[in-house]
Amino acid sequence: MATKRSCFVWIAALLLCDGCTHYYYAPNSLQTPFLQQRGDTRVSLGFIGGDEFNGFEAHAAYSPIRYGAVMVNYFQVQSNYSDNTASDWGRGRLTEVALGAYYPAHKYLSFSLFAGWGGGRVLNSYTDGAKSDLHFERRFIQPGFAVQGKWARVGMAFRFNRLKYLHGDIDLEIGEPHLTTIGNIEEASPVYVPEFGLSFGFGARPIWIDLGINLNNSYDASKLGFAGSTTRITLNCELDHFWRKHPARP
Amino acid sequence: MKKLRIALPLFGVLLLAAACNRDTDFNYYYYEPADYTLLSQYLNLPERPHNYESVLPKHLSALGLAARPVQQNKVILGRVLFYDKNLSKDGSVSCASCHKQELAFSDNAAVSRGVFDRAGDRNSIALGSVLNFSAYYGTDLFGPSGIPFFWDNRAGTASEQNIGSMTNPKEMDMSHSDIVSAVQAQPYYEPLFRIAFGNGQISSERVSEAIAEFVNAIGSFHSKFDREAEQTIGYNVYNDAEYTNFSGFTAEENRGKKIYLDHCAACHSPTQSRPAMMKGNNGLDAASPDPGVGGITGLPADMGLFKVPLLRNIALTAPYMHDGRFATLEEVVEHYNSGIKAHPNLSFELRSGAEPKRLNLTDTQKQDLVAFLKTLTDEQLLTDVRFSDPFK
Repeated sequence: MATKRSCFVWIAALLLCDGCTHYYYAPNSLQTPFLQQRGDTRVSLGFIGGDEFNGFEAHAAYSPIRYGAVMVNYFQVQSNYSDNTASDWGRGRLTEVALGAYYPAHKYLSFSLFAGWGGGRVLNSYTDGAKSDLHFERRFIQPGFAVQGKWARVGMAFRFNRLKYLHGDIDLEIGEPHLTTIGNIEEASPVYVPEFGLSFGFGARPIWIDLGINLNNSYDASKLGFAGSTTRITLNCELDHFWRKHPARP
Repeated sequence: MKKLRIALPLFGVLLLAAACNRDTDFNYYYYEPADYTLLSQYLNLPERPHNYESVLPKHLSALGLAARPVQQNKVILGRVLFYDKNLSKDGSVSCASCHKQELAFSDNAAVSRGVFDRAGDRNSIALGSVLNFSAYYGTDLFGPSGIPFFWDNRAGTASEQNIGSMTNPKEMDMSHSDIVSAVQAQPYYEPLFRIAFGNGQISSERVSEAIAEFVNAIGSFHSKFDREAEQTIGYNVYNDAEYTNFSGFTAEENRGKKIYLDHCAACHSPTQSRPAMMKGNNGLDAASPDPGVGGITGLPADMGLFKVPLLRNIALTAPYMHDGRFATLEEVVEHYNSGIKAHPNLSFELRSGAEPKRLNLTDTQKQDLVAFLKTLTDEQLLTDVRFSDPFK
């Protein structure tokens, strides 16, 4: 009986493990900081997740001059397979900086355009502990807008990425289909990845909670092992509120 | 300030356009660097392993046959073990000593020499097409174990076969614990076992399994016969097509093929995929001094019966028969032509009524048959680096 049970467990583990998806890229949140004037400072911390992975991200935006801003993003995820074995897992992270311009068209509406550069790493471990370790660089242009009222807000952006995999160390033991996927990435790099992000927030100045979705619209996403989408929940703070004598409206 | 407003976004755009176009550089590795450094002191193993997957020619896949799945890591380990003389009592022989690649993994001695120059009992069987023995190869004509090993069919699998040879006093004369000790003593095995099995634990069962995986990966599908059969639509699918002359064969070879199909294929297979029968008596002696399969089963009907081998690479595997009594293919053909003895268990296919069959081939026909048999040689196998000696 014990043997049968053991057999069942092994077969179940194999079946579950067979379904483990290894990703080589996932979209971080498309941030649309609501900037209105010089000195505006925004920070956020959030949870982000996708199919079989989750993690957290941090974001900050600051306007040192009128119409000009700088933005920093950090993004880190790891797998959360239902059968999370010691050897089968994935991790990824991305750090990036962007410079941009914004235009407060209305006290409730702000348009923005950011151009950024960053780098990241995706480390995957497969059955039997074989690993792949890919390092990439990402450049992007991101037009977007944010609408913010007294209690609610909406943000939307497009991001056009140029994703270049710089180097990687791949253990051939990872086997198929992973080798083929990584081979596709090597062949396709740099990959141009269009993304779309939408967020809805509620709260009141200076604290907001946003719910968002980020969609990867790459035609070859599945062929390249890219995650198709991520969702997030973030806690945002308008830091300038604490040091300004007369916080900007609304 | 105004300039700065323009400069900031412009800087961002320039950042994107910056000509920092480093190439994508992916490094694929199989061994950890420290492991490869160690292995390279003893072995010529490529950093990126060879591919041991077999692709069958169309004329075989059309029969519904499929190549056996390969466990690459174990094949690599098995290759090293196969060529390692440390696996014999006096360190003088390895599996490869009696199964030489240049001879399609057979030996040119009537009976091979083992440790301390001890003579074996029977002729070394060519391993040049063991893949064809596998249970995974096509329909399970002979049960789940596939085609058995040894002249007396006593081993159901390649694992049983190789452990049998390693422990045979006339061959490698090792006990199971000797095998483990010999392998543990060599520093290059720890990483190879770790990669093959997930940890470096060494056991005789694992040794045997790895060698079996290597041997099972040896397939022979690149003979002139294969090339021609592949190009002949319907070959081996429709019976009449077998008799179609191959355009790339000489007239002599095509005549020899017909003779083969008429007189030999019933036992040795028209397709060269797997033998059509598992055992038989071919009338070498009227009373066989070697009981063959009967020595294992104890059945009177099995006395004097031996494995029916595949004839792939047959031109390279002289001397012939289980005792290596015939030095040339011409002698073999002459035996079937006029020399079959009336053994009580003589195979039905070699009888003409109650008497041994006589083919009465002319000299030309005999030459034709030999010419055809030579088309079964797979030259590529003989130098295929994937199966070669990995030791420095």
